[in-house]
Amino acid sequence: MKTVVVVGSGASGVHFSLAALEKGWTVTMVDLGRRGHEPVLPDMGFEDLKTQLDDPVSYFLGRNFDSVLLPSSKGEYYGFPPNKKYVFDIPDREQIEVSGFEPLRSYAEGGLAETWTGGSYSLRDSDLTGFPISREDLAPHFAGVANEIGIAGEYDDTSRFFPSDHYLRKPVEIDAHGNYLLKRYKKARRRINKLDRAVIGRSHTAVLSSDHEDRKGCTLSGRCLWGCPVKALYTPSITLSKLKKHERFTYLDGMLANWLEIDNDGKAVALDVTNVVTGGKERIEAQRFVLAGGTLSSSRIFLDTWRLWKGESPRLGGLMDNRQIIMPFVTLAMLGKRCETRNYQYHQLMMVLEGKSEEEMIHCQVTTLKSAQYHAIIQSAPMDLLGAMKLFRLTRTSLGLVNINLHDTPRDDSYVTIKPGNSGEVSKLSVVYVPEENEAEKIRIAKRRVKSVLRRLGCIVPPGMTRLRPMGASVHYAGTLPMSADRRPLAVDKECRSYDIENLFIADGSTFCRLPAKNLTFTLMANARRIGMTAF
Amino acid sequence: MIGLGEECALFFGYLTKKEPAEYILEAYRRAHRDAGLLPAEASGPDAALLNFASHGGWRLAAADAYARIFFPASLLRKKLILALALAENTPQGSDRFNLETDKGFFRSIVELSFLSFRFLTFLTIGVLFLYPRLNFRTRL
Ligand SMILES: Cc1cc2nc3c(=O)[nH]c(=O)nc-3n(C[C@H](O)[C@H](O)[C@H](O)COP(=O)(O)OP(=O)(O)OC[C@H]3O[C@@H](n4cnc5c(N)ncnc54)[C@H](O)[C@@H]3O)c2cc1C
Ligand code: SF4
Repeated sequence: MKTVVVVGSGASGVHFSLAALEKGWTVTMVDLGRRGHEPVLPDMGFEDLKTQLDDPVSYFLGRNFDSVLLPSSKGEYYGFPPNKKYVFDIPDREQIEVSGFEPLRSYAEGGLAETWTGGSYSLRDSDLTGFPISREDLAPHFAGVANEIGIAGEYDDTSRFFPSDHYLRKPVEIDAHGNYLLKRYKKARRRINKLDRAVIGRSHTAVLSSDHEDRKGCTLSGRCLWGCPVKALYTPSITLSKLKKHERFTYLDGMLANWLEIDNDGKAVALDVTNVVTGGKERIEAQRFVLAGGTLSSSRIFLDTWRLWKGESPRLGGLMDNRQIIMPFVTLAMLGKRCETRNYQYHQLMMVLEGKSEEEMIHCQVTTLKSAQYHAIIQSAPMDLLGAMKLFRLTRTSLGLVNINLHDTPRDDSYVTIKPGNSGEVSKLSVVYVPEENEAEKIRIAKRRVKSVLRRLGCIVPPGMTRLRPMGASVHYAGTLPMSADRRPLAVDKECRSYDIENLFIADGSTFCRLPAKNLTFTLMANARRIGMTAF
Repeated sequence: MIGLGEECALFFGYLTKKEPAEYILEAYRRAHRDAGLLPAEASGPDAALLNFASHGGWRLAAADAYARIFFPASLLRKKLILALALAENTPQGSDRFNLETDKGFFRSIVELSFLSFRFLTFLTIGVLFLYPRLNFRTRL
């Protein structure tokens, strides 16, 4: 029997496991596995919940009102709803110290992508510069994952940046504001393409517009952030439910992975875990081990393994994340329009700005405002609250946000390391991020270029409302144990097998060699599937 | 100073022109008492601003405009935002956030101009009445 232990049930862990099972392996998945509740009133739309729920205040704002966004709430335009807080609930022992980085981490069934916005973009060869693999290595796995999760989009002007080998499904119906922007783009296309070197098209998102297996097509309930009640929006827990039905799959939740035990030949023999219910420690033996705990957690497990094995705590350099800039805009022609109450909540359009080289492209997701917690937006208007509320009513259908994503490259001064704890305990992770020297200039140029495109679309950008999100906010963490063609310590080979521990594989973003300005999770899933299919 | 229930009715009514249901009053009280989102008692400049606003009418509108510019993180604004969040998420207030019919571009521009004018007027009143007591030098 071929046995493998996988840490983590997030996007990376579940797609690796699916592939390993297909290749005949017996898979044991170790996870803390925090869980949420089933969606309430699944047939209701977002606005209907406010009138139909017995206690809408607790549902939308939380029993302790911790989803009320007050003026000091870090300047974000949205927060997480109470029913999704479990996703970010961190066990006490996994606290970390940070500098220049504000990470989100998850110990939930399905991981961080239980709250993702579904943006799923494939990579080109130029995006893989520095990787020992090419687009050809990933292509069948992009298609395999797309088939599994369902990716909607259209073949349009953006397609050359996101080769998709015809796996795209029909997208969800676009809202009136998004439709208007697309029409304006078609009229101004020549100028936008030539003068701004930009293109606009439909987003690629992991959401179904029609039924697929036991998932329903999107019903335009507008509840995406609160949890899709019909599973149209893909989350990894959907794949986990499928895995749980497989006879060669065992899901061990309530377990925190500590470190790997390494024998004298440099092979991992067991995963040391803490059972959070009993507080006791256990060993789980297997032939192979896969870390898919998310870049930060996998790095911590690897570093603790190294510390106990070699007596040192090295730095893992090369930590990356996409810098994001949030630019609100107002589309003048949409002012005073009636609100449609049934809508898909997340982004339906994307904008790509070409860079000097292909590697330097800028990717933006364009979200027209639909359902949200409006008080967070209203309070940011430069007006008294009553006036701002009325202003919001008039402008609501004309409001939108561009989420600008910049690429990142690995640097030694951005790293993770550990501060060892007491004997027998896991260490404290320490994360340091230092932006590139010319980052401020890159941000300035990106903002100017996006504003120019928006102007041609008939939109204005209200002064003073564009916000630079802190590093860590995009939650696209990568780069601490990179793939390398040359054998070297603290790196993995092209199949993501550790050069240091031969039966250890890393199946999450830790192995990325650079971070293009594209949401990475679809590539995480495709790469995890590739590892399962080719190295197992 | 007025009690939390009266305060909720004042702020909720100011924003929605409606009386809050008992459920909303209860939630407003809970946010201050059990949940500890906001302090139940105000002190110093926060108390002065709240006192002025608690008279309702033009004084509340002026304090709202004044706080937006000079004290964006004041307790008054936090309380108003809480009332707004309660309005947004309950049947009594949620319809105040949607336009059910098209207003049209020009009517919207006229209304927007009126809102700006209204804001500047109340801000001026706020400055006249509140600036001597609460200004940039005041620490909340
Ligand atoms: C609000 C939001 C929106 C996002 N939107 C997008 C988007 O549109 N597109 C996109 O590409 N990406 C998006 N992301 C990012 C995406 O969610 C992550 O890239 C993705 O979840 C990473 O998956 P992962 O499996 O590698 O790690 P994680 O999701 O972090 O999963 C880690 C798993 O490992 C388990 N685990 C960790 N440590 C241990 C341990 N010591 N012991 C036991 N179990 C452990 C956890 O319980 C969890 O199951 C978004 C993220 C957020 C928060
Ligand atoms: S994808 Fe979003 S809008 Fe569509 S059904 Fe699910 S929650 Fe509703």
